[in-house]
Amino acid sequence: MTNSNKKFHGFHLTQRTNNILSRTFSYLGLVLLSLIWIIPILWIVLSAFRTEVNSDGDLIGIVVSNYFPTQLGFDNFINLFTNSFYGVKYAFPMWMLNTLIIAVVDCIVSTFLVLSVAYCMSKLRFKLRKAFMNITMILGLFPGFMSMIAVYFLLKSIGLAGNTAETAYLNIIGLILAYSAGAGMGFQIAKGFFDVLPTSLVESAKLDGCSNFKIFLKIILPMSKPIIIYTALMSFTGPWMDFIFAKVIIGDGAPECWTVSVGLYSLLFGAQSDANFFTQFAAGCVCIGIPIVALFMFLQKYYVEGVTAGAVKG
Amino acid sequence: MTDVKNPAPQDGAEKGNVFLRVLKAIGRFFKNIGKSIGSFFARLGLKIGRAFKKFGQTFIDGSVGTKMSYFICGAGNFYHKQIVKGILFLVLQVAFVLFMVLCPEINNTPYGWKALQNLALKGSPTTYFDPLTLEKVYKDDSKLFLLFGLVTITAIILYIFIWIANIKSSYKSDQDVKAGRKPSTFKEDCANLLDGRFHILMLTPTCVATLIFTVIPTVFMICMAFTTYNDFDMNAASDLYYKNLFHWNGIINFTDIFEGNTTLGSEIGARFLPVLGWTMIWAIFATFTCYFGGILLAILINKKGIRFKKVFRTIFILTIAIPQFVSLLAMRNLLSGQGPVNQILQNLGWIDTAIGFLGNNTTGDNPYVAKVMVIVINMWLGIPYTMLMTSGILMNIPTDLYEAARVDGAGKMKMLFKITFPYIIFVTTPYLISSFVGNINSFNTIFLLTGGGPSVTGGTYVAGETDLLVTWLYKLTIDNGEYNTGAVIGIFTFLITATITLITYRRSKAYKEEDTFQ
Amino acid sequence: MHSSITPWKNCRIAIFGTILSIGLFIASIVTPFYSYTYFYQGTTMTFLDIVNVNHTILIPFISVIIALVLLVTSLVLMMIFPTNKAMQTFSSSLTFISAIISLAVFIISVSRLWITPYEFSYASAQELLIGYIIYIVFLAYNGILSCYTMAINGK
Repeated sequence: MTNSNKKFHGFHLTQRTNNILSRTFSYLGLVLLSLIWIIPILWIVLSAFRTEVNSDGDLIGIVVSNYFPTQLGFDNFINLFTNSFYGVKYAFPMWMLNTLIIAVVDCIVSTFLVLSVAYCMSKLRFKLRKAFMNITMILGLFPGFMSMIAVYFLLKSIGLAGNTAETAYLNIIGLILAYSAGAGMGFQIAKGFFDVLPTSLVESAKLDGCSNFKIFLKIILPMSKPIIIYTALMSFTGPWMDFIFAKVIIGDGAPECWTVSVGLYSLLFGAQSDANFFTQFAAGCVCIGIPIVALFMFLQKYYVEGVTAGAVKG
Repeated sequence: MTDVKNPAPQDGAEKGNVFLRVLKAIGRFFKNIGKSIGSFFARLGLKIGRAFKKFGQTFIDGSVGTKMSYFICGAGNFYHKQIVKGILFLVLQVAFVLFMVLCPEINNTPYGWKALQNLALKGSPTTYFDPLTLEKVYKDDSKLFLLFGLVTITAIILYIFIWIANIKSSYKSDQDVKAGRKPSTFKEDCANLLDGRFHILMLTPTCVATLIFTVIPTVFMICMAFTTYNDFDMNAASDLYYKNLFHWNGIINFTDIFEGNTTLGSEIGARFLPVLGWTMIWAIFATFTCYFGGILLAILINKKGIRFKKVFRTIFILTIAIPQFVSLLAMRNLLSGQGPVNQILQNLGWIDTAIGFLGNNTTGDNPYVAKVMVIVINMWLGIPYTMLMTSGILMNIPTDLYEAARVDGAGKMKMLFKITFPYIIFVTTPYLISSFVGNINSFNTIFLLTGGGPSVTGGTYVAGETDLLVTWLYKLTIDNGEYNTGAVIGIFTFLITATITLITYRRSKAYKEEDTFQ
Repeated sequence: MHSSITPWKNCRIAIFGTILSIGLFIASIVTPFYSYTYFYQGTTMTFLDIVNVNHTILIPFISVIIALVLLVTSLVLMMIFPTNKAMQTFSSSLTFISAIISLAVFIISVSRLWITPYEFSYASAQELLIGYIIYIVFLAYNGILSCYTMAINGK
């Protein structure tokens, strides 16, 4: 890089000064933006640790007059885990357990379904291929909400939704079914990834006499570690983060079978909600946020690869 | 893009020529639509005709076994000594026939041919004695009628596929015999499933699941738009008999909205266009602000000489990792009337009373403030996604493009505009389209932030100021139980999104070249 | 990068800037800081008085001191080891943290988020004293300075 040193009254800056100035302002902008982005998250995290008490000595649930808490403590977490909400003892741990079960099952089933469909769409050629893709796209255009209500009726008529008390666990099975069934349609990103894998590999394996199944198992799968991890990550974190779907299907049933998102929402806006639960709500958010964030951090590389692959050919 | 068909107009006649060109373009557009729809149906008709011809031909050409399998599934397979396959088909047929004839009942509503009969949705006041609650309950429940009728229709369609598969397999065995080969045994068929017909194995679970959990519910909802399914009316009916019954009423729901005969219809009709308009505005702004914001941010992070790229990216990933409902509810709380932001502003002395940023305050909130805030907050949510994606793409741009440009003496800004932007925009156009469609249907953001925003006076069914079509749909169905009107709005939403997607997506290069990429 | 730029030439603007920054900081904490009318005192207080009353204010205060220390340390490192890659990364990180701290406290102070002791309330009409303005200017200036230091650190 030439270092032409023409300085006329400071108007024409050197190449290097130009660089430095642009870098300075870039850093400035980035740091400011990062801080702005973090403000709401920090609010939740701080709220989780607030322990200001009001004049009666009770914990104030929602303190909004100052951003930074004046008293910190773990009381909210303790309350969250031991309180009984909606008449269910140890409600929050139950919700977390439910969501964990749903997430694990959904992860396994979804990954399997998505990968098989994506592989078929990408590498295999058969008659109805284009038709299938078009139909999937059109079905995806319907407001997903519309089908949710019908799915709820369907499950209710079979007895897998809307249950109370003793058979509440059946609701969870219903929700798992609903999540897994919808998973197969989300194959676009995985398909984009498989598209990039060279077809020559598949062809040469076929020439060697491998069946398609063997090719899938022994060649494609080992090469697709990024997309497998991406799909697994997405389908594992899905049930923790999804709210509206779970609310429609499970919300009517017994509180014991709620997922974490429905439960937390109902703390603030449900039938027995109380604005004073906000700090406990924040504590709950921190509880579910930490594992998910940790997962995203560790698997960051795969996530970025997945998003890029899907968008590029998507 | 130079248009070969329409070369640039001569200098003198520019204005008039432009007008003419626009007219011609519109005319061509409609002609193209007509042509494509016409050709679509023509091709469909041809395919159906050919299929029927083949159907009849197989009957004539086939052996005795094939002819018999037209009536008894599995007969052809037995004829060719494919015992296991034959048994499989026979069992399926018997199960189907039993299903249709015996009409198993769940929740006192039958499947089978009775369900088809019930599709007419004429309920009767028959009661049955419920042993659980020890009282007489009215038996007929229209929504179950509709649902089970649809399930039965699906079963019929599935059976037709099985029947045709049975015929095909028998015919194939015929041809095998004619060509001198042995008809395939069950073991060979299974092995074939893993190889040549692998796609059937892989796709069947998904197809079945999609059929049950997506197709049937969607058809159900479409049907609802043509009924009187309306909790409000149904619950208000004096006679308990009517509580669970509704019936078809044609397209009255649709015309109601436009003509405004009933109070419900007029309210909805009055609000429909404003909500539609706001949905479009929201989709455009949300998509483009996030898109360009993300690109700019990615370019900023990716600049040469910036350290800590990973750290910055990690910070922004943090916002994605946080569940949406957490961050949205946090925002709602932050910006609420008694929230910290309002407190700070009051303490600073900038405002006197709290501003309803999200329209959750008492009435009198400025709807525009709420609308702008919603778009801004959506930017906060959406920019990290676009940034991540663009980062990956930016890292993959071939550097020789830049080298060549630098050799030619291009400055930084020029390189940015002429190389980086076009490349990114080309690569992410499908993403842009799908995110636009997604934003039209984006439920979480608006629902959790504003709950529909400052309410509009004038009735119970009106949408709020910041309601999208989908959130309005939610309010009508879940909160008010107006299932039929909600379904109507859902259908409209679908038509809009489908039209936009089909027009833009099909013309985009990525779709055309999708097959040839490999 | 040509090594014709000596470490001193590289950093001299930053070093003078840091000296100015420290000067601003001292000025801001010595002058009367904020002005409040308390419901029962009705007087103005210096920073030290406020700290005596509400200890949590010390948190941003100490952070700012840490930021200054980090900035000085990184400048020293840049002068001593101008070409050592590992040292460059280390001193960049220090400056990065310093920038974050300065700008974060800047945002906090501008919106006056952490100056209200919980037990005090104050009227909405306030007078900003010179000290507060100097404090804000110092924070913004320090942030930009840290970004500049990051930018000149190696290549």
